Amino acid sequence: MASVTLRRLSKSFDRTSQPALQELTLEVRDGEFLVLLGPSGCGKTTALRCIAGLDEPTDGQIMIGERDVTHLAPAARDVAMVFQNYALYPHLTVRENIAFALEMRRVPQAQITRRVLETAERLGLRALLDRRPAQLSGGQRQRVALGRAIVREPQVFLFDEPLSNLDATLRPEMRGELLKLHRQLRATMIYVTHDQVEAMTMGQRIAVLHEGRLRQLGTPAELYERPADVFVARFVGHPGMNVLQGRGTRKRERTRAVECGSLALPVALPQYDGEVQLGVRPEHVALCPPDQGAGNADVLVVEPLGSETLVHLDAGGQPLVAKVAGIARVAVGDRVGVQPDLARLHFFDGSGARLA
Amino acid sequence: MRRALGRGWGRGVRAKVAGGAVLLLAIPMVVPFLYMVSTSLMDEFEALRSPPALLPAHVQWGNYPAALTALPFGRFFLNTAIFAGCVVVGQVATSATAAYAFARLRFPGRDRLFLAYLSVLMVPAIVLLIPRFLFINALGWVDSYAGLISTELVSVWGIFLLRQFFQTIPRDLEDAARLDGAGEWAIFWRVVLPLSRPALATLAVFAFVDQWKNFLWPLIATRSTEMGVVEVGLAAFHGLYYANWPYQMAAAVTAVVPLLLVFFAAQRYFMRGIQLTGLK
Amino acid sequence: MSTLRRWRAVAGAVVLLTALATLAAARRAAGRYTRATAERLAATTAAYVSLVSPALRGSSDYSLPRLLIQAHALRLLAGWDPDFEVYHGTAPLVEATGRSLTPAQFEDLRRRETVRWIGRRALAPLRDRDDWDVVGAVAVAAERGRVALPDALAVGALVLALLAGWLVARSVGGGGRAGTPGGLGYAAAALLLGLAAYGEVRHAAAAGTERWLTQTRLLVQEAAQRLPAADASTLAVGLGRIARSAPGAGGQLTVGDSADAAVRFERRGGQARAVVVARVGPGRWLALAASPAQAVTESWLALCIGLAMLGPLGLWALGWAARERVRPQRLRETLTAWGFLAPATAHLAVFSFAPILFALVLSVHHWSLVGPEKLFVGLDNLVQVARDPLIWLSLRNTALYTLQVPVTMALALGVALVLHRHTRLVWLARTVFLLPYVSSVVAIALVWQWMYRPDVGLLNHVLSFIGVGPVDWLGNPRTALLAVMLVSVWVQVGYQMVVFLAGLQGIPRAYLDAAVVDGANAWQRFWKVTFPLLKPVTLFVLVTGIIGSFQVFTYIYVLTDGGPLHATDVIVYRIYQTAWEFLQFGYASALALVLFALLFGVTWAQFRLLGRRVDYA
Ligand SMILES: Nc1ncnc2c1ncn2[C@@H]1O[C@H](COP(=O)(O)OP(=O)(O)O)[C@@H](O)[C@H]1O
Ligand SMILES: [Mg+2]
Repeated sequence: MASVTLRRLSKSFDRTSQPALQELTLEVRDGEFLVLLGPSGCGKTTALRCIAGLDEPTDGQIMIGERDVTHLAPAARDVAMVFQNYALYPHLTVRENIAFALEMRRVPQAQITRRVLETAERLGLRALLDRRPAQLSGGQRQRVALGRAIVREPQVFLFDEPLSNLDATLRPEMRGELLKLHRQLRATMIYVTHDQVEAMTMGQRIAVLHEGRLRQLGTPAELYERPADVFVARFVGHPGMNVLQGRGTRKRERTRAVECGSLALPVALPQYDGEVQLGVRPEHVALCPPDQGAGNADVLVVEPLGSETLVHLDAGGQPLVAKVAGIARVAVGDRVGVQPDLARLHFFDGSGARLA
Repeated sequence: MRRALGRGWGRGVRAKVAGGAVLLLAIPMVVPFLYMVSTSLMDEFEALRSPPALLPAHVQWGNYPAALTALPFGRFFLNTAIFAGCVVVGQVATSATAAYAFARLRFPGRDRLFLAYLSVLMVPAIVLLIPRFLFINALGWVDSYAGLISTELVSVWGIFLLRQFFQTIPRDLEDAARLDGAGEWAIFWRVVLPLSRPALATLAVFAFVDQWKNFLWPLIATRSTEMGVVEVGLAAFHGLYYANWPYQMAAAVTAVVPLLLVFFAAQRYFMRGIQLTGLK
Repeated sequence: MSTLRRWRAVAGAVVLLTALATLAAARRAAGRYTRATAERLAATTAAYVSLVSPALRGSSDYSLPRLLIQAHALRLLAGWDPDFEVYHGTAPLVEATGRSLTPAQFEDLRRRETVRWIGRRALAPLRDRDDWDVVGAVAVAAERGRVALPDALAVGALVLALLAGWLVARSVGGGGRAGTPGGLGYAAAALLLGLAAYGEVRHAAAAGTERWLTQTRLLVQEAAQRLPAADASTLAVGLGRIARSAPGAGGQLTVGDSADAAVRFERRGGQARAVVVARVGPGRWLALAASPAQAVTESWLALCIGLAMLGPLGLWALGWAARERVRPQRLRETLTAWGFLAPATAHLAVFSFAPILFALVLSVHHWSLVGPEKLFVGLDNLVQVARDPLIWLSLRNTALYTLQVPVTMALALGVALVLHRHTRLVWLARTVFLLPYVSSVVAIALVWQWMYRPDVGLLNHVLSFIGVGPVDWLGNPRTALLAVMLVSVWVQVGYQMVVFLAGLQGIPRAYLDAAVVDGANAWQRFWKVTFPLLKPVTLFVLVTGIIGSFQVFTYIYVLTDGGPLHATDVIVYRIYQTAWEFLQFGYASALALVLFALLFGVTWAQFRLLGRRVDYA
């Protein structure tokens, strides 16, 4: 087992377009399950491929344990990867697929047979060993892809959106299995996804990537409670945080407030010059009768989900979502009062970085 | 309503007429083959009768052994098989390796080099044949297998065909193999080639038929009867037995049969090959 | 940094090795010419000995004592300097104590009857007076290569190349890129080295020719004194054997004029010759001529320059690799790629790219397979092409023949359109229509020739039912080309149909359905939707059809031999005849290049005219 360290890793595919990775610095601890989270096209796959050695970084350094592997061939790095579409060899049976890596490494035949059987046992693939990938269901292929990775007993596992091709019903089950596997193997795993639910439920730590840059690295709770910037704030949570464009005003000498659209929130800020962005999670926005809260807003859309209801509001030109428990008794077109939880406000400066 | 009905009816008839016309056109496509077989079984003088006989009065099976031993056709077939066989192996091997590099490996100047390769397709064969002949003549390879085969071992068309095919193989498969510890050669040999069997078969079938039909190069690259190939031998036979049409037809039938066998056995690949070339 | 040092060391080695290899190759080439001279001298001496030694009475073998005398006399010949030996059977005559031949060596000589080498000595068979059996041998040692230093120019070029190369090698992997002044300077120096090395080869070739000429002149003069006095032309015939005996560029002996003793060069009838004049009596001179070996040394030039340029090329590649060493994966991938490309690239270089260049060289030469002479004629071949009425005729025929392409295409497209609808027919029809395309070309030509027969042909028989009189299809100049075109249509239609079918299948049905909804009838649908969408395929079929049609050969060769009265003489058939029947390879190559240019122009024009807009919405 080993840690994985990225130092100022950059990757450009061509000189003209903007780089896919920019100075990514990240340490994945030994035995950790780290999730790389970000929207599509943000460079997650590229980062993973650089770690695997499938792409060569333009600049920067990659360490696995104490080894500098930046320019080593993929085979020499002792990492395994599970691809989004599984990349099973269509012309080989399940058994041969799993054995392929061992054969390439010239492991003795007897040992190959034993390890393939062990792996199949662990993943429940015994009965499928002589089938070809085309004869398997999505979930079964997923397991074979996993088997192909774990049979090698690598130092590091890389997963590139492994669940995105699965049925929605299968996903939670597979998530659980992956976590179980992680506990059993105690291996370092780097898991790429664009699905924040997956990230929050699985990751010991999460690294959020946007446009090739690392935005925040932290535990799910840290991400949720102290997002480093507007992007992370919006991206994490379901639905994401409301971010209101605000402007500080001084009403009187001692009370100060931030005005966002039709809301005026009495909060103390270290400085009031210029724009400020104010974040509040939907679950921390309460509705009340008009004129009783921090301001009024118009109801645009109501999405009852059963245990809770999402109410989309227009607060003086600024969109705002409130998540209220149970079925909310409001109708489209109503005017309601809005009361955010003042203790749970987040402040960002004009460029989106967190204030204090 | 009536108009719609009438149109539907007219359409059906038109389609039937068109289908019939195509079938009618198909008749002249097969008649020469049937006539070839029929003449090959006629008596020498029966063939020269006027009006021409359509079917032999008495089937002369003996024409076949007689014609095929008048010149050493056995030797011709052997030579052609060796020639076409070696070329198939050579073209498939060189095309597959080169196509893999062009389709999958990154190196400076790749696309320019590929264009340079393709430019060879623009050059008429005869432009190359003269210097190639002088080459093998200088090497003393005229009238030898080496001379006959060596010039044909690479096919730019084959490289093009396989490159197109390789590009359709998901890259992730190769990357997976790379992580599994396979070197480039193992990826090529154990992953890419097994997945490309249809394309390889297409190339092989085409190379085989092309070389079997190749006339001009064997005509100039060989001289002796021992080195003759079927096509050239057949042309020579025509010169020797000018008046004996049943013999000539018997030899012609024998020359056509192996090709038709390959065609029927590998028709799928044949169609695919023609379509692939046509659609690029 | 030590890796960079290693790169530079390798670069230095490349510089040194390529330079030395160039000189070594030149040395070898020069050695070959000295050996060739020894071979020729051995053969010439054998011819001389055989001419001047009387035979035993009643036998065709020589009288041994007389042979002995002649051999010894040769040693005393003023100016004659080869280190030689004459054997009778296996026994040496000049130095009786010398090593004799082994029986095996002698047997081998008898059987093969050509010059062979034993150690440093070329051994030529000595035939009996009847020129029937081999009875002895003449050995001539190759001149000890002047082991002396290469000449000043070569030394200078070597020093220059090493110096320039060292400068470049020292900076390999630094910031410098290819094409810097240093790199270009080294390339120039390497080129100079290649030229200097070639100069040595050429010098050796010239020296060899000169040596053979001057030594053979001595033999001719000596032999003339031993023959009965005769006039010069009789002597020229009588002594001709001596001159002709040399393997390779055999010499000629003709009546000559007085001249000084030096070898001179002249051109006669387009052939370069080196000539010396032998005085064979008072007022009688013979001219001894040989083709100068230095006139055909181009391949050595190519080799020398090629080897020398390997240095700059290698350094350029090394420089690239050294700069790329910071990204070893890219480097590794490049090397792997070249490994995969090596077989195909080497083959294409030798059998495609080099032939294209060679074709250009050929086209400005008179080049025949027989004589060693390859005469440079500049654009004469092209001028001749333009003046040759047969060429124009064959071009006209080729153009006419190409008219079969649109006919075939129309037929093929029609059939494809019908089949596209009749899915049940497709398989059967495709098979049937493709039969001619996959059949043996010659067999098809034969059966059509059989059907085209004027008297008993099937075609005329069928036509007689509709009252068309018997036509001598292939024998009549007015119908012959048409008859060949018909065969071509018959063969090609199936192939084109399959291509069109594939194209039709590639047209999304939605377009046609949309047209139906818009109320277009079948005719409009074809012209407004199908045909424009099929344009790339049509263009492909047209272009390849014309390219193929311009190169038709086999049908012509088997069906008509270009006749009757050149009515079916097409351009490739003309080229074939020019090269392989008249053995005019230079002229044929010029013709082939004309065809290339024509095809290039026609293809280009088609793309310009038809291919500009490929309307895929
Ligand atoms: N092989 C490639 N060539 C050029 N650009 C690429 C290549 N692979 C990825 N990119 C670009 O790099 C960026 C990051 O891509 P990727 O890492 O695949 O994103 P994702 O986070 O969705 O996995 C994208 O803008 C993509 O267009
Ligand atoms: Mg991705």
